[in-house]
Amino acid sequence: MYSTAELPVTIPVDLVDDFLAKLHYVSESLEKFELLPDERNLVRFKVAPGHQHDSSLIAERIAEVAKKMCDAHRPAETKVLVSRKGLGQYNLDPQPTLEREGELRRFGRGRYGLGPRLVALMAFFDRELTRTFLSFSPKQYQFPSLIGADVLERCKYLRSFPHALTLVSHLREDLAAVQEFARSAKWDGAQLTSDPAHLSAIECLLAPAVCFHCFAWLQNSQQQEDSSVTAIGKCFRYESGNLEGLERLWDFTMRELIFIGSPDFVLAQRQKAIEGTAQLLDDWGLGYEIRSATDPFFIEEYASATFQLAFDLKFEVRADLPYKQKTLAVGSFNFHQDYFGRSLNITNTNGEALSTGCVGFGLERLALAFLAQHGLDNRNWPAAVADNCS
Amino acid sequence: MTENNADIKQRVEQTLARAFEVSPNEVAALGMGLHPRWDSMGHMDLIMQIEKEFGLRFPTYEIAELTNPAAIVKAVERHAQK
Repeated sequence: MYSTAELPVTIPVDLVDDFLAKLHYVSESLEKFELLPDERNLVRFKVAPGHQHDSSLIAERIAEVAKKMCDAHRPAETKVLVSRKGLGQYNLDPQPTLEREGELRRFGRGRYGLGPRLVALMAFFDRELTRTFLSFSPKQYQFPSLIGADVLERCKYLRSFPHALTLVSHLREDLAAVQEFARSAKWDGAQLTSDPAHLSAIECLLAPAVCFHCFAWLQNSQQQEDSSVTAIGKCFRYESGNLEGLERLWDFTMRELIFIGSPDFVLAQRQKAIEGTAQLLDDWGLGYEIRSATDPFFIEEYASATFQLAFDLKFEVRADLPYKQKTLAVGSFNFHQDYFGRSLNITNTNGEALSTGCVGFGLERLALAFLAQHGLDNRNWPAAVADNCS
Repeated sequence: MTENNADIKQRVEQTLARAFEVSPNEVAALGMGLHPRWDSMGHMDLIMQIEKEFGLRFPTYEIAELTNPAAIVKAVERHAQK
């Protein structure tokens, strides 16, 4: 049986996707929901069997999400920097075929294993991105998957994206707790059951982005000159019911190019990266746009999305997914102003907080978008990819 | 300056003083990035307080201009004339 939540506001058309994405975090009892498409001021929802008593609380929370997001939202014109029609003729979802052919294996929500062809394609994209990034003379780094909670707290990431965090725990250093866990922990078909009292406090999380490690490395330092860094790493963003195949993974791989320096330096590097990577995407025959975008801030901090748009802080590469007649963000070009410089005390020799920026490409998404546009038969791929990707 | 504009200036300055917990004579020196709390979130909090004070809503493109008290006063005056 469906219940309804009357919203105190009408959700603007350009906010609908973001609003619905946030509703997955309203309650574990919430099974399904939809916004009335025309009026956009009423949500129909269904709760899990046995949880009907949660309906009124869920309705209140849905209304709260709507109110807070609408208060912070401002309509904005999308700025399109680059727009390309692709060369691909394919229009099917490549994922079922990849699964059938043993190239893709789902392990769980947002967790996939990739076979040799996907790995080769991703390695090719990474090589080409890295080659393009050479013109920035970046220093190469390697970072862990774990990141200290202290860093994410100082960067206010815990406050801005609490819904996306993946917290890491281990058993407490307590012989009885370890023994009891070993005796009693069981997979119940959906989760590991164990006594939460045996788990440690949170010291680390799985890193949501590569660049945080770089900024953590530089914290409390004075930089003599502008610099660039590149690194590849695993990133983790829990997206609840929004997790969907290779389109939206909990655990994914990102190549980043990071800039640290004066605002002029960072903005010039970002612009150069936009031009360089657009050339690369053209060589791969992709259909895409590079356009203004925002990060998925949680509802309390949703005004930060408006701030990003107002100050042109984020542009995304949105590649066509013909099988969905939608686009998918495969990369982004970000200017953080002096946010990390101030948060982590990264300064120039005059003690002024430095600006930072980063370019990031999700390799699984790039591979998916490429296959979605060109198909799995490499005889139909652009030569720039087919000749160099085996 | 008309009396109405003087009133706008005073109300903007009062809102800024409240937002950043400074005295009225410190308001003129405020600016985005010049006060530790006037960062991205501080900016958006301030914008929403100004909007509430004057019952208006700034479009996104205008928000990037409102980085000091004088610019905010001018923007509010523009909206007041509409």
